[in-house]
Amino acid sequence: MPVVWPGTHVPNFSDWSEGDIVLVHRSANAVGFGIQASQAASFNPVTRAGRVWSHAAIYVGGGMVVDTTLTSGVSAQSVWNYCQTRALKVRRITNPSIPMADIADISVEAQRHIGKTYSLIQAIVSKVVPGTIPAPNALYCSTFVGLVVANATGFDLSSDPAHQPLHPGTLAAHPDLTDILLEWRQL
Amino acid sequence: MQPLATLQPPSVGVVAQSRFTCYKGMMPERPMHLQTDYLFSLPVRRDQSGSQGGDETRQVETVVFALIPEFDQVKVRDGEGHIYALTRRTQGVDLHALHEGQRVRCTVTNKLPRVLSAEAVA
Repeated sequence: MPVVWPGTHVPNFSDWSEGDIVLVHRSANAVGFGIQASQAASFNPVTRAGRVWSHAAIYVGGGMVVDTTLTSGVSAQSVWNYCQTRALKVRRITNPSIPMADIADISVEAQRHIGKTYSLIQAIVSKVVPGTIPAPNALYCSTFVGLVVANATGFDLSSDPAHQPLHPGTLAAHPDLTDILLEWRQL
Repeated sequence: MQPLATLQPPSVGVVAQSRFTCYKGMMPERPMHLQTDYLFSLPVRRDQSGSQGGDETRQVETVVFALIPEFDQVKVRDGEGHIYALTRRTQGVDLHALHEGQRVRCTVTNKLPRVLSAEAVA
């Protein structure tokens, strides 16, 4: 349960786990529709399937996520900043071949990189030009999630060519991730 | 309240009034629902029952194509375009000794491919 929460209802955080991947629905502005359009134009059918999801973050517990944004780089912020106006999807690696301890380490790994800067040019080019593969060290929301998950679990979410490059839409429809059921609960 | 795959925000008009009232005026009285778009983003679920083959491994010949020292990670690619991550947890290889173009033989799990160990090939 978050220590500070502005609303009278909270998402079912008790069902979330540290290391879950939080996806945020596109915003209702030009940037949001632009990201959706670029994902819809992707050569990758998995990314096209998840095209309405425009941002990805790592849940680190306590109602907080760590994500990479243009304005703050890699930083921690409240889930409230997203869920008050945008739909969320929460997904998890549930494959039994990956130890639970490794999955829990995703959160630790994400927090290790707080302060790193956002790769604006890479983000723009990879989204505007379909088929473009970003630099492996490019750091925007979905590539950050991919790097952190790989570091913690050894599993590269973009391993399969059908999942390259990694965009929020790719994560939203990735077959190796499982949806967590969500609901609002009263405080 | 019926849990769903997505958490819908309160309506924009309500949010504009105040954070407090937007939550006061929503669930559980108003049922949540899936929008049409979301139906297309539902994932293909894999059968979680039975053996996942987590212990079964295979040897993969790969080539280093990216060094990411800021993440203590090296990316390698096999001949079919699959990418694997070598991390500081990967046994048998010194990440700092690798260079782009170097061949690496990896022991990879069959399902949900992860490199368990790797060795540089001279």
